[in-house]
Amino acid sequence: MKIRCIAILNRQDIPVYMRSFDETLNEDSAVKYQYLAHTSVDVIEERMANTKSTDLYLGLLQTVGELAIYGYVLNTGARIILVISVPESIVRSAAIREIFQQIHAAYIALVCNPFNNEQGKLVSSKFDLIVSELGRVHSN
Amino acid sequence: MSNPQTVTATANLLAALSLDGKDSAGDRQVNGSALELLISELVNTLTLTTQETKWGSETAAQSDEPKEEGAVEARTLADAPKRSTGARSSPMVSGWQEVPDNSELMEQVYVKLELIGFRIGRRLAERFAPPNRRLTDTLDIVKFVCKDIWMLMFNRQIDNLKTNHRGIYVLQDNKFKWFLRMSGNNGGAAAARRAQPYIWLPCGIIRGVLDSYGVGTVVIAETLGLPQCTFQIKVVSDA
Repeated sequence: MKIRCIAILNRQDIPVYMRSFDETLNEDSAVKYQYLAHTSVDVIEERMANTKSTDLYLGLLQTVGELAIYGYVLNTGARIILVISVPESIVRSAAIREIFQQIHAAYIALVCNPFNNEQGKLVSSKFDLIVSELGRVHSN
Repeated sequence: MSNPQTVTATANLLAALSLDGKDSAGDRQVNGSALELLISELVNTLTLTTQETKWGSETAAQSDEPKEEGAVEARTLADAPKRSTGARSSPMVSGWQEVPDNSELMEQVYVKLELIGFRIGRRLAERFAPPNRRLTDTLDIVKFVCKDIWMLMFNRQIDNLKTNHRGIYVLQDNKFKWFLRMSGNNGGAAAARRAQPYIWLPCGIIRGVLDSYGVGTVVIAETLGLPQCTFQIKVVSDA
């Protein structure tokens, strides 16, 4: 399983954080992940409205080609989207859940920092470090 | 595929960057009384600095004492009776000073305290949101405030929650923690009036928490007699 992209959108579905792990960094990949994030938003809304379960983890949202997109929603409205390349072996949802929980923990720490600008994009070197680490350990 | 080692590696990194809420020696802890002391100082200091910045030049011109530098200095008990002549005089000793009659001043202090509370509330909401379930409707969110937030801040829960199911919630706390150490020597009404500024911060905190969860509100607090305290939440826009 290889993580391709981690994106965070705020309550108004505006992306506040986008990080892709493609080897070939070009304009196309950035646009591609933004597009994927936006299409996933509809699925997220649908899942949140429909579901009887009050879980934060929304599971597999959609698959596009060789990419699988998972979603996780926070109580404060932010949505976390994880794009992975579909592996040969089966992906355990517990593993994905764990990744989301780690992103959530780092996000909380970032938001609690009173020196962070609340409006606009999330900018934090510590957060970037965590995301890089997550991308690194899950890139086999 | 992630295995136990890779998960631990990320967890270790989180811990090393102190992004998991703990520090290397274990959970960070702070004495609970520190918050109460901070609050009483906060209200006083905000009142003073607001007064100094807005009316500082006027009081300096009026009084014949030497003008002090920008920061507030501590004055002694002996000085207080001499200087407390009017609403604009510089107050000093905390606690027994009458709430300045200057309503414009107190309105500014209210705005500042409420805003500080609002930002605290937003972070509290993020940090202590229930990690494994979603808060479904407004009543659920208000109940969360009554139980979890109050437990975090005051180590007890709200005594009474009333609602008209149309957007108004009334939270009643019969032994508000910050009032327990206040006593009014002039009787109930005057003491209650003097205690007003100290509940503006919790108002802001409640509003911040609710706003984080998508519920826009107006929060008003009043006290009819220490140590009782009532918060009225009016929902302006819904989740």
